[in-house]
Amino acid sequence: MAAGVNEAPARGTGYLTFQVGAQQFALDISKVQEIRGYAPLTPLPGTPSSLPGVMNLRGTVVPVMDVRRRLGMQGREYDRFSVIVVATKGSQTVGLLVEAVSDVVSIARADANPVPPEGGGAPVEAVALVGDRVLTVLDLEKLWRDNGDELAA
Amino acid sequence: MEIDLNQFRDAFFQEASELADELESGLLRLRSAPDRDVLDRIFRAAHSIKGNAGMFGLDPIVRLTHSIESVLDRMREGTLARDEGSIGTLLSATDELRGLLRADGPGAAGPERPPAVEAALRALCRAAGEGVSPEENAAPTGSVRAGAAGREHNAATLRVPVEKIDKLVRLTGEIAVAQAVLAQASAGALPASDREQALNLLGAQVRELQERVLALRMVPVSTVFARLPRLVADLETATGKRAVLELCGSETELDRTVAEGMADPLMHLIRNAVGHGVEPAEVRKAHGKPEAGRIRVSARHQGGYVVVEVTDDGRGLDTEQIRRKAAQRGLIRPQRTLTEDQIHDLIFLPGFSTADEVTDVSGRGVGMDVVRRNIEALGGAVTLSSSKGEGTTVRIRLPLTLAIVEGLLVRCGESIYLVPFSAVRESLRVSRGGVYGGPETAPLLRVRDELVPMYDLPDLVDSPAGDASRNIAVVLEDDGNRIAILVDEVFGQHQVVVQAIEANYRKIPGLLGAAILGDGRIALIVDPAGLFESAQRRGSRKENRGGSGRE
Repeated sequence: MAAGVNEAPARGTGYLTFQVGAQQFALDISKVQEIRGYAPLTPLPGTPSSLPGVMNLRGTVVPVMDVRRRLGMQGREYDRFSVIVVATKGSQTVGLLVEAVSDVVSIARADANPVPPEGGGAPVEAVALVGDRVLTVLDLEKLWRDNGDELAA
Repeated sequence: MEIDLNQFRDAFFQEASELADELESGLLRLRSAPDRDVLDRIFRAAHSIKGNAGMFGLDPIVRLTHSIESVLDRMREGTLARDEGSIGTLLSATDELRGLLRADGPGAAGPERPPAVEAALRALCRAAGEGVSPEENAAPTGSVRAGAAGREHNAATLRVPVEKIDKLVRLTGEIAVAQAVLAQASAGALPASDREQALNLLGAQVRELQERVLALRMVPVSTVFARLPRLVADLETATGKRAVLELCGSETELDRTVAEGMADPLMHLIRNAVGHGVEPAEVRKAHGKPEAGRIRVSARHQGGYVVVEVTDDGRGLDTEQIRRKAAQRGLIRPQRTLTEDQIHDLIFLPGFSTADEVTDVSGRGVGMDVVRRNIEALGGAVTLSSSKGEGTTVRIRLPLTLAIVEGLLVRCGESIYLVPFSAVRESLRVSRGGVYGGPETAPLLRVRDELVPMYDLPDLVDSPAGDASRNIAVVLEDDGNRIAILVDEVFGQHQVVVQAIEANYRKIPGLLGAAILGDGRIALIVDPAGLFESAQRRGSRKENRGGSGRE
């Protein structure tokens, strides 16, 4: 499950990449706590569909976000091949439900193109070109902050 | 070295504030009973603070406590009278001392600026005939200001009696033994019956461990009560009335968080009792009451709750006045008939309290809405009873702890909920003939000779309702209202450790939190008050969820 996580990046900052829909996303590896297989979640009442529920992470209740739905894609059934990326957001621990984890890459500052202000609504930090892959670097804070919770309530 | 010192500083501040409490309670006792023992104890308290403060180079504290000592010395010698004036000055000095201890210890109060109260203390000494300047004796040593260890540390530390720790150590030892027995058993060295026995024992020990660890959070209510004698004394001075404070059940234990949250509302109730409940001495005499009002504060355990009562023998609530004021303020319709209890309840309304003339005539009402809000935030409830001319009792009911909830574990579809026992009355199977009501109202469930509106539990917490074939009803009661909630299955009684969902996410309306069950599943803890609110909203929308299985 954690294959690739240990491959240290050669230079720049390490990013964990994962698959959501047809796209590849990346998250700052220093924010990633662990990667877990999918297990059924406990739904919370009054939350948007992008929050399928909470999981029991060794005795702690951790909310899990369905990244597909959060990014406005069609939802899909999750199965044992799905993965939950457990990340640290400030003092909080959160889970990101994704289709598959790919590898850890190094993204140099020069390769990352910041998102222009007009695209400021999306929870995206930058778009980077690594080899022939286009990686969308997610902004974890924003991903959770503009979750649409208030709208759904 | 520096680190060590900081560590001791925390201990110093904690101990010093306890000694300051002792100083204060001693001084208060000294007023009514001029006892040599009490005086000695006060002296020792002041002396200990001085000695310890000296070690940390906290000069202002050293100077102040030294001045206090000097005055106490004169009292012991008999050269200074133990009268209201001198004790009053010592009490102010105690306040000043607390201020210094709170201020963050070092550096806050400049040593260059001796407080006015020190001058007053010196004046007392001079009056006693000796001109010893306290400062000369307490020659401040060079300051050892070790890093600014904030005073706020107190909030995160807990003093635990050694006895409680000892029991934990013993229990841990027992668990280690039980584990060793099990390890042997699983290696096949022991028969199955022994294995089962060892497993049972381990289960019991783990439960005991859980209880004892949670008990570490418990503090006696005396930690809160300790502030009250001084408060009453100050109120007596401020109002010119006389009041005797009676404390009962000080040893009753409750969760530290609950105890801290209760302190403000409780002091507020005492202020009300003296300020508005108790009549001036001459009025009391005219009514054949003792001149000094009696304020009784009691605490006791009742079920899973702590009940704290504040009773005064004052003038009681004037229902007619309250009613009139409430009508004037548009809180009730003037013609409405209200029971006595309903009228008393009006003083808890936010719009009611603020105006002075109301409190002057009716005798109560300042910030009672705040009191209620604070208590409810702790998961408690406030009720009030009063009879005119005889006094008022305010009753606070608080959960023993916020860390554990005991309740009924139920299932609705895939979801597991815990319904706190505080609200549960009974659970019953819904029979076809027992449900009434048409499509325009919530269905009504007949519970003996009463009709109770019935709702689907997931529906009330805004969860997708799923199927409507649930036929077990749990009857809940809150503040005299009842509702029935429908569930698929009742698993029985469970005690869980509450986890705040907002720790990692955000607060969910209608839920108190979540809990992890023994098998790793997550149960959602419902907030009974939230269910009632939700039911009320649904009722007003006339939502029908009669369900196919019933009428």
